[in-house]
Amino acid sequence: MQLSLNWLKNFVNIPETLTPEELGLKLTMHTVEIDGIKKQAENLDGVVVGEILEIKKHPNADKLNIAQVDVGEIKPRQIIFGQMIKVENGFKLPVALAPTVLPTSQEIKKTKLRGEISEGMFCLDQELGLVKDGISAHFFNKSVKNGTSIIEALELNDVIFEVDNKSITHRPDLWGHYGMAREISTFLNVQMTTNDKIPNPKSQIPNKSKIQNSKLVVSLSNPFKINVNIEDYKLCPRYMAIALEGIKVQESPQWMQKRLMSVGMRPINNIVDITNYVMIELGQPSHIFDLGKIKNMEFPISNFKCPIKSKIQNPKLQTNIIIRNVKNGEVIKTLDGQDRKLDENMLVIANSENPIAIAGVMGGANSEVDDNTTSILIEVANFNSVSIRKTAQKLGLRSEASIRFEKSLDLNLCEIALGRIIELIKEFCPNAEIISELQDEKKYFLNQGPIELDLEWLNKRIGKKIEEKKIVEILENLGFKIEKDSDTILMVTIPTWRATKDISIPEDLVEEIIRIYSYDNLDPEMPKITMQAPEINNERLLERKIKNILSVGAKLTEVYNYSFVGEEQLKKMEIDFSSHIKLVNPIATRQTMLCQSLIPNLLENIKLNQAKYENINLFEIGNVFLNSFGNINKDNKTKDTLPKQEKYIAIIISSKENNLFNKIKGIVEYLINSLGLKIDFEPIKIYPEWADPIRKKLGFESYPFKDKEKRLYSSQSQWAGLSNGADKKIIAQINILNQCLEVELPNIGIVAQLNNQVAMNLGIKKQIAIAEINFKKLYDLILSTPEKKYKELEKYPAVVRDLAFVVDEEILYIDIKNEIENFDELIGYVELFDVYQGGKLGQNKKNLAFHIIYQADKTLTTEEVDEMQEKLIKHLEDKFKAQIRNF
Amino acid sequence: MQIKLQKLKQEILDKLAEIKQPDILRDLEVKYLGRKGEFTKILRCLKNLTIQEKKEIGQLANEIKKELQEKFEEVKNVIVKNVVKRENLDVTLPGEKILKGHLHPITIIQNELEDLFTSMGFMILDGPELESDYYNFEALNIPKYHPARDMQDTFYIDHKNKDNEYDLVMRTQVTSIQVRAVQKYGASIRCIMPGRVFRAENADVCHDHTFYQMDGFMIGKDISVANLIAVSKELLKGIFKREVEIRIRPGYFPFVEPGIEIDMRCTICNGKGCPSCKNSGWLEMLPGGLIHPKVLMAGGLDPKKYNGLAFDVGLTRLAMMKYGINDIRLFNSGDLRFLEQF
Repeated sequence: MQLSLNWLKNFVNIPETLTPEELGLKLTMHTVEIDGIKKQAENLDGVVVGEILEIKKHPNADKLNIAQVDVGEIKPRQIIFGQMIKVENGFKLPVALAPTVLPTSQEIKKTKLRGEISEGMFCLDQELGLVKDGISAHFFNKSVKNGTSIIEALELNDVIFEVDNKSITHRPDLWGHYGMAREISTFLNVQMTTNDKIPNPKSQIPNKSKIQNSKLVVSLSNPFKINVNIEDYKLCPRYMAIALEGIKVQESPQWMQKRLMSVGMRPINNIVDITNYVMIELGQPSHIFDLGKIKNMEFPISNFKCPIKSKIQNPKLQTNIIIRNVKNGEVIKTLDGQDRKLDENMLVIANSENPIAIAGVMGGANSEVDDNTTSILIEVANFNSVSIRKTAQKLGLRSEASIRFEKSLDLNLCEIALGRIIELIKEFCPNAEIISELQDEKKYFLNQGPIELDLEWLNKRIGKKIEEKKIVEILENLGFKIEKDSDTILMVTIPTWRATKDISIPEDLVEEIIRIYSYDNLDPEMPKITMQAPEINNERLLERKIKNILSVGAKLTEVYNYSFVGEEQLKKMEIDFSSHIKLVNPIATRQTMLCQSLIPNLLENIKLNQAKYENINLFEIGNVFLNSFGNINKDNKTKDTLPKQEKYIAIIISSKENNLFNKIKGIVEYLINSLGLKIDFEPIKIYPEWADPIRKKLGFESYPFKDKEKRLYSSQSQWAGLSNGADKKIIAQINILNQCLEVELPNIGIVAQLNNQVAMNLGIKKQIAIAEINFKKLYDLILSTPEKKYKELEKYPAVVRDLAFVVDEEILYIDIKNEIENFDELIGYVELFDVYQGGKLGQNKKNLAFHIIYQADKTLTTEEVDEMQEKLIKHLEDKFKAQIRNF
Repeated sequence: MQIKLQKLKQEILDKLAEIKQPDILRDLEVKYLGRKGEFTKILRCLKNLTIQEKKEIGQLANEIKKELQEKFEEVKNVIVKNVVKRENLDVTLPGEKILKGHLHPITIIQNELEDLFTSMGFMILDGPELESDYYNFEALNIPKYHPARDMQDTFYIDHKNKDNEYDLVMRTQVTSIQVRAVQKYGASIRCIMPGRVFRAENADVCHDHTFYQMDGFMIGKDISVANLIAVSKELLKGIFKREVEIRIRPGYFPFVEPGIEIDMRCTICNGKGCPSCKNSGWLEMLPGGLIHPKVLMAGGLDPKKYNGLAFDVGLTRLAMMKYGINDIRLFNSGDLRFLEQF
């Protein structure tokens, strides 16, 4: 919202010594955030009134003209211009003299345009920063001297404050100059100006009789009848209406146009401008209908255009104003020319037949004031804030009126605004006459308290003792009424303009007092608390540890990716996204769903960087969002839970090398070992689509997540897939061995290589290996693992024997290793040191070579070891059909 | 035998005289004096001799071996010296390259702040990123259709509840954890809540729909505005590692009453006014306030007995300030040229 300094001065005596910057700062420090201060005259020093002496076509450009312009200098200036607005010889208009810089930062220089010199520019209002949108220009009459500064010619002496609207979300009273002036008078501790037109903002006692007894009121003996019928007072607690005739629609006087423009409003005509003016001034929206268009007749009207005055004698002339909910599927064309389809929860103003306005949001085109309007009906009302907000949101139509109504406006403001509107109409249309009784339908209760304010409590909350006198002064200045209850208790009555929502509890008063007193006047004081060590968040510590292992240790780079994925991306990865949680209001087609894995976006990272980097090694720790119930409660009342959200550790490495699968397993081993756990890899049966080998090749068909019924909250696992033997070489699950018990625990993640088809779909030109580990499972394992204990050094030397043998390729290392280690307790552990395939071995065979470490609580003899080795060999021959190779 | 030994000795000495490079010297040492070297071979033959011969030749052999070992040592010293002198080593050449990993700048800042707050007795809490409307808004005194909802454009999840309303959101603020925390820990709580938040707005250099915040709050008896100011000041001091000048002004957040904004004297222009502080000389640093009684009640506490203070630190904003990052979108870009700088 924009505030005009001149306008504020109509209500409050702002000392001349106070600079606009100082006032802006004080507003920021006590009341609302001021985003900017604009002096109208700023950067307009180089703009003067100029008169066009001669216009001719530019010889080298069709769309340009050359003008000789008298700008009050000895010689006329030559100015080249286009045809934004039609100008002729003799026109006087604003001219920017080169060199200068305009408020829009546009630089005006002496230049040659297609061979012709231009020494300035004709300026539109928009270029002078006077109006934001559209195309318009000021023309001056003959009496204005050429060369007059534009600042003087247009009386640009106002200062405009830009208020951050977010900072007045909770203040219905600050959406106009009237309320803002009240604040200024309070923190500057200066008087309000006396104004006989508008009641003092601090008492805000309206004078209804003033409206009715006004000299304007004539013909009341034979009034036009307005029947106001409010169907639900909860939605419309107050509705005031009055009818006037003798209206002449024309331009508003210059002073009003200027004021409106200064705060960013476009002048339209005197009647519409008055409603806007009063809204900006007092904060109360209103609406004016063309009475001729809405009146109901009890007999058919032959000629709608006939002036209402001739009918005034007819006692049957009346209009029904019904404030009701929308009936089945009603449509209204609003003032902006759009057809709006309404629904039953919306409130409209209707006559007997049709809606004529969407209550508190926008008027209807069917009742719009136009150049032919001669009689009007003024509506000043108050509508339910929630209802207005719902309607405006649903229609996508947030008007200046709805923005104010949704803040819960003071119900008493209606009559002040109505009085002001009638007064201005009378001023602009001297022939205007009131032709109806004032209608004021209302049913409301304002909770004005009083609030019991305990001064001792107040001082404790603030952390400083503020004198009672000062407290009373601040509150009274803001319009609160105070009665003393006891020595330390004040009974504080809330003024109507703060009672709608804003202020209801003592805490609210703390803020009122301290912000006016000034926060900077407090002395900081540390809270007194019991000393207590914070509870340790072990999950967070583990996360940090893992990040350090992976970055510092494994030399990976940490990335943060968005939590969103898009269809296109998942299609390329052959992932069925029907079960992905979707956003109602995504802002990009690439980001319509919540990720169920960190991998899709990590692949995008590879794609982004692949041209610039040979090797890319990344990791991310982040949440994925699953389509099933988790265990986090949704609210306080039900047993519902939120969708499952799991934290994952994902690693992706990429290069042109072929050994990436081994490399990523190495990284995972390093990570798990660094965390004090042991690890195994096992082939997996359930695997993601994007992993090598290609699903189609193996002839898999169906895929889970198909069941549409289960869309949200079905319980599916992260790794969808099918049960069949995948290629053991490139996908594996990660098992962790519990150190103590040597029991295999459930898998905690997978490692895999990206299949070539998916890589091609995604436009990835490198080999990719991926690991994804469930953070929570890892965390739980670590929790259940006993703390590390020192193991005594072996007292007796170990005996190492090497053993190499050939087995079928399908037999897994992990099985052989387990078999050997579990064969006899003399075998301490085994170490694989060579794997060989192909060549002389023949097809489907592989050679494995192990160091076998024998260890016992005594010195083992050669014979003992030889005997055991013999038995072992025999066992492996039986179990795996191993062919032993001699060294 | 003696002659054989003497001959071998001479042969070795001759070769030693010619040697100039250390690796050849090493080879020679292995060839003659090593475990399987020629000298050793001769010594092995000793076992076939008489005791007297063994004694004599053995003594000689040991003398020769000792002499040779000394000679080798001597030559080695000379050669090593010469090599160092001769070789024109460019000491400015780079060392062997060891790869480096990188933490994300937000992680770095977050770690720093977590350490700072932990040292002040705050615990660190987490909460769900996909959050209910209840904890993100309602419990924080922001009912449905409250205008304050405009302050945060919200991503809603495409799932309606029984009342046909969308009631799941991507959390717009980590304050969403506050009521959960109070419900769990009760009145004796002092904690911070770092995390990722979401706003449904289009991205530009200053805005992104995903960014990082850290909220903190504490509950106690008779917590005052003066306490809030002192704690905030201490925090800023900890974050910037020096005394900072602050100013406090009113700010509106529905979950606090009173609500304040703490500004810090602009670190870039020192208060003179620059683009970073929008020429005001002040940077918005910490929004905060005393926790609203309704929020305490939602957490199950009696606001007559307890109250608390709360504040919020923009992690993304801090990272931008600290490193001079001028485009917020870089944080979630995955661009290595950016990430490798940290």
